[in-house]
Order: sequence, then C-alpha cells, then structure tokens
Amino acid sequence: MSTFPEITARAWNEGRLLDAVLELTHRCNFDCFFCYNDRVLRTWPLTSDEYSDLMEQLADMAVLNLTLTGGEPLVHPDFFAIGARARDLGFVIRLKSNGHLLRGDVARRLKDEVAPYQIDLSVHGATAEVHDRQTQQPGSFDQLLKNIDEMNRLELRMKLNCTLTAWNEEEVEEIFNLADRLGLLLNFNATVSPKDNGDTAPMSLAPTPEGISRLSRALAQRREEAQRREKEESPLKDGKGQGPDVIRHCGAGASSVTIDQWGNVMPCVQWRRVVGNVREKPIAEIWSTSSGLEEVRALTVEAKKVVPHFDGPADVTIFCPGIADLLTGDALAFYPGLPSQEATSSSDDGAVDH
Amino acid sequence: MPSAFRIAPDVRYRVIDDEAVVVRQREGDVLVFNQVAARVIQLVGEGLSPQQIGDCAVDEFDAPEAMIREDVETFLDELESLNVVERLAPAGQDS
Repeated sequence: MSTFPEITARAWNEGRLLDAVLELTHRCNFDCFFCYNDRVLRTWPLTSDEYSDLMEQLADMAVLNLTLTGGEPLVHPDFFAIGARARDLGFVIRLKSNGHLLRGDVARRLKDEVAPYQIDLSVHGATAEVHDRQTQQPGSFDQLLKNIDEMNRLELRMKLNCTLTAWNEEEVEEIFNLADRLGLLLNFNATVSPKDNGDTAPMSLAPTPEGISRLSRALAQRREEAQRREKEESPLKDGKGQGPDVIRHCGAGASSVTIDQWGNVMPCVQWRRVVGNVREKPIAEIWSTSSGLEEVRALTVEAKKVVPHFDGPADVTIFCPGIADLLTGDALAFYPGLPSQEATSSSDDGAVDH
Repeated sequence: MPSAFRIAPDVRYRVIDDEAVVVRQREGDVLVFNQVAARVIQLVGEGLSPQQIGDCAVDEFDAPEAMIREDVETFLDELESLNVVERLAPAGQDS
C-alpha cells in the first residue's frame, strides 16, 4: 500500500491531476499596490452552473484538493453556492482570502456551508501602518486580527501568507512573531510578480537584497528550531514521510492546474500560459491532449535538471519556472529573488500541503 | 442486523489507483487505504448498508465469501475507530 507522499510523487511523475485552483474573480475589496491580477473583464465570467459542471468533471477525475481564490473569492456573488457544491462533491477545500469579510454571518456560513480544510489569509505587515498601507484600506489590519480571533473560536483552520516587499521587509521577524502569537503557520513569498497583463509596476515594491537576506536568516533560524523540535517530538504520523524521487521540478501542469474566471486553463497561478478553455473542451480532454501542457510538463522535467546548476543563492532559492517565464520569457532562466520559502510557526504542519 | 454507517462529515476522500486517500479535516491528516478498504469507503459513501457492502465485495473480489464478509466487518470497525465513518442510529432511535 502506498503512502500519501508516494501517491503525490506518482501524480507529479505521471501527470495525474490532484490539485485544482479556481480563480473565481479578480475583483477585490482591497486595492493592494502589488496585486498581479488584471481586473479588466475580457468576457463573461463562468456562471455558477458552469462552475458546478466544471467541479463535477474535476471530481470525476479524482481531483482531491480544490483552492478557491481570487481576487477576493468572497466578493463573488455566488461564492457560497460554489463553495457548498465543492463541499458536496467531496473536495478538500482551501480558501485564499484577505480575511476582511470573514466575520459574523460570513464566517459562520463558511464553516457550515463550505467547511474548508484551511483558510489562507494575506497579511502584509506586523503593524497596522504597514499592512494598511498595502491594502489601502484603513483599519484592515485590526479587522483581520479580530476576524482571526473569531474564526479561531469557530475552529476554522487558518494559515498566513505574506509577500515580502520593500514596505514590510523590516518587519520580517515581527511578522513571524505575530504568526506565533496567533498560533498560525506563515508562508512567505519573496517574489513580487508583474501583473497578469505584463505591467511591471508592482515590481517597484520588490524587496531589496538586504530584505531577502533578512528573510533568509529568519527562515534558516526557524528551520533549525523546527528540526530540533521534530527530533524531540513524536515519530511520523500516517501519510507523512519521504516519497520516491520525482522527475519534475514542480507539479505545475502535471498534478495541478489553475482555471481563471473566464475558464482559461493554466498550469499554475504563477505560470499564466493558457493551455485551453473549459468552455471549449472538457477539462479531462484539455488535461490529456493539450500540447501546451505537454510542453510545460517537459519544461518542469528540464527545470529539475538545470536548477541545481544555477549560479546565485541557490541554497535559498526555490525556483519557479512560471515566474521565470513571466520575468524573462524563458521558463528555465535564472532570475533574482527568493520566490517562496515556507516556515513552520506552529506545531501543526498542514498534512495536505505539498 | 448491523448498524448502517456514513462517511464522517469532516472526512474527504478520493479513490486513486484503487487506493483510498482519506483526509480527516478535523485532525488535519491523510490516511491511505488498500483496494478493499477503498471499495468499502466508496460503498459507505453511496449509502449502502453493511450487508449490501458485503454483497458487493463478494461479487467483486476473488476470495472465499466468509473471509470477504469478515474483512468488510473488520474494515468498517477500523474505519469507525479512526473516525472515517460513523455509525448511524437505527431508525426510530435518537442519534
């Protein structure tokens, strides 16, 4: 019998879809300066019925994890209908949200009607001054903390996501401390991407080399602490442990896929190469016949070979072919920065993360 | 007659390559079950009674009937102890 890491590794290697991301809308109740979403509506977005049909297809393909994201997914007028349908179809649901609306009736309905596995919340600083500067919404930091407290009482599992920017890089340690105080995992992303339409304006907020080094040091220290704790604590739970070797650098287009509000299918949130549209073909057909996906899968195999030979801070770099493609036009080209490192800031290590 | 079961409300599962990947959302962990258990989980999910699940398993698996029925009962007990399935109260009884 397999372990879960073995199943995940086989999915990467054999091109079996396990994770789907639905970008329900690019609209948002915040106006973050660095947001990569292109908010221009090009065509009519998918309807609730189209989402229902798409999710049935994904369930038939045995997709396990479904991420509902945006923009801010909660501003989608049919969010609860879509979320409830996803729950009924048996997905492990993750919600990516800025958290501002997650209080009162909305939080309660989320728990009762959608029952997500986890809510990933965006935090932009350790203080109201820095966080609210990014969201351009006065009071958003204090509201987020109140909402986290309320969701804790509802026993909703949460995690924090933070993009490192020139505005918050001096608060790295404080942001980790904030996550610790809240008892939440924290994920840092150190790459500020261009907008989906190629506009590079958000990159003016990219972190400085000093900021990236500061994050690297903080991450290294926390990894050491986590490893020490791991040695001291209990043995591996079921479903954990090392999987077999994988042939790809990442699962983009091999075990995961992103579908935007217009039905465009892309290998990953970061790799915005359109390989099909669910209004034109069933997702299973796109998955099995798209030449664009075949090319992406070949590139992720190639990336696995070339990334270890990059010059630069390879010890702290998790290379993203999608960002490389966006920034350089070459999915295998080195680019500066520290795209993503995950740090454990609580003892819960999120078993369905991978 | 044995009680009927249902998949626990916080549990999500998929059958992948004949194995069941089961996520216990409350515990935040993942369990993997073999082919027979995967089929049992599927049939519980479809609302079949233990008797019906046994009948299906006898039809589908190549082993002595008594052994299959015993395995099904064992799996159901194990799944219940792991909070993957829960026992439904008999009709007319409060849960």
